[in-house]
Amino acid sequence: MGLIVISLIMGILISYKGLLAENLYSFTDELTLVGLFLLLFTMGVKIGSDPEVVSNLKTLGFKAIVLSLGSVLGSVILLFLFEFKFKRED
Amino acid sequence: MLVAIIIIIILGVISGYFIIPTSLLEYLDLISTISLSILLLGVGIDIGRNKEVITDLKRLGFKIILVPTLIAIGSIAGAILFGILIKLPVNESSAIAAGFGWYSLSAVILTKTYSTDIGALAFLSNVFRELFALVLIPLLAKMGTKLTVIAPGGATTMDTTLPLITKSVNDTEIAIIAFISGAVLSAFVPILVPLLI
Repeated sequence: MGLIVISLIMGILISYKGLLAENLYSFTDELTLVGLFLLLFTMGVKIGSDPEVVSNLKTLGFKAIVLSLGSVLGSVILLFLFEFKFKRED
Repeated sequence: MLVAIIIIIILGVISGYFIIPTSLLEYLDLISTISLSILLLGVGIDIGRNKEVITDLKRLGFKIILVPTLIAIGSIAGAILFGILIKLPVNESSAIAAGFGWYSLSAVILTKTYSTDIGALAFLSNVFRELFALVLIPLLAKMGTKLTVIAPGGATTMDTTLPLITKSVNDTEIAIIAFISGAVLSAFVPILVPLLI
């Protein structure tokens, strides 16, 4: 948790203050991609080596659909109400 | 990109299931800690680089920040409510929803800092969010809504779903708001996910 915040803030400061040469940005993109792929691989390994998660994959799929439906509906409803109110004020 | 991501996860699952002995698993923790800090450093660099978004935000002011804020509140509240139906604790459903469709980042943060199964659930749930968005965006546009078209995409409206939004709603202003909203929501993800869990 502390690590997440520190890395993130360091990154924001580095680029916002322009501390990085312009030609280095493509390199940071690649670095991010390598970090992401390594993490996704270790995530896969953790899933594969945990028999409980493997046996739960089907229920996970169902739960995932329910949660994403909730998120999508919640955000659409709020923004729809906002847009409607906006239009009447115009 | 999604295909590459799924292939890598599946490779990991197969190695974890068949090959990698439990004695090596503790090293995985070190690898993932280092990778996570590298990844977040890169994410931070990307956020800080979006100076245009930051100046646009200053210019367009308060109203425009309302759009991603409402999307964030709606996403999290909706997931909490639907999460209660499937008996999911509030911290888990809210943190998963705070991925806002950015499946890779939310999944790896939750796997690393919380648990493997919630990480897997975050990945799937946020992939589904992007899929739902791809269906809903043209549908909402057809119904004649404009701002609402931005909602289902969440953080993805700054990249993967932006072309579909501009194509469905022929309005430059909506495209700009969609981009800014996606950028703001993307910046929320690495902050809100660890905060909510």
